[in-house]
Amino acid sequence: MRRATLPPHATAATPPARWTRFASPARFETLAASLARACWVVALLAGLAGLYVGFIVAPADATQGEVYRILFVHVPAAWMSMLCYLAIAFWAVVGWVMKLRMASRLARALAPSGALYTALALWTGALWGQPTWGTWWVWDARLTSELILLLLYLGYIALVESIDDDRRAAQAGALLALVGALNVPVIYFSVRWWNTLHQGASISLTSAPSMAQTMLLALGLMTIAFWAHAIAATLTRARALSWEQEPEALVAVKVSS
Amino acid sequence: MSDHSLFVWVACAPALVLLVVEAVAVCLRLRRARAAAVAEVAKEWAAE
Repeated sequence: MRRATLPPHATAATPPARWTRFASPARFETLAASLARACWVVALLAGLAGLYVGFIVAPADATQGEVYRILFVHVPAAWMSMLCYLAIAFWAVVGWVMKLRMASRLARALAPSGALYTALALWTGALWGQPTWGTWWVWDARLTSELILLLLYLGYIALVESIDDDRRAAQAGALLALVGALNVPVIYFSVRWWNTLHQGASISLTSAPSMAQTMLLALGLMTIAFWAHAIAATLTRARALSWEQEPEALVAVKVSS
Repeated sequence: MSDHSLFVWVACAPALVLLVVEAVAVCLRLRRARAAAVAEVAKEWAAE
């Protein structure tokens, strides 16, 4: 008879790895509730400050005039659209490989926010493109790969929502997220790999930013606001999913506390 | 270059409104899910 054996360093009483204890919906609920609350506050404060600096304090651009201010929403939305998809791929694969349902739930909770940021990046980009390029849309590499990202988000949401069995939905979603993640470096490097109408990066880790300090400050504040918004929305949605899918366990925890 | 403030408004205002709408929507969903869970479990416990 085949028997399961433990690795040499482990015993039957080996506690689970530390970070996986938050995979318990009850523990996640407690942590996420306070973290989400803090992130909502940060998103509101940083957002208001960013809008004030970006739309009132920062001067008009020498060549683009007022229209450049779209940047303060467009750039953070575009960054978050890519980051959210990478986060979905990460959590979906963690959930699939380690059979952690909270990880798969996080991936699922990220998708609507990511899709919203992608749609906002495309919307604000079109309205920035018309006055500066003379066109709402061109099929260049950056714009097209961002549109593909939106379709990947919608495909992921449709796929996961259409499968009733949670485990199978998580597996199928993880596969799509993993394959789709290949599109993210294509979006990021598209302006270097191909000759595009879209401009190259104004900010990079290796060189000084090519914009005024006030503009940079406003962009930084809006980026913090978008980060905080994404984290808060994702945690809140993941909590809602937990309450919908495991009501007994969470009610028992609330009653006992 | 002419002033394109209208483009800034049309681009940014709906975007910011949507972000607020999403925030309110997820909070309402959580509230509804919690209320439904508590009601469901209370009904089960009452039946026992």
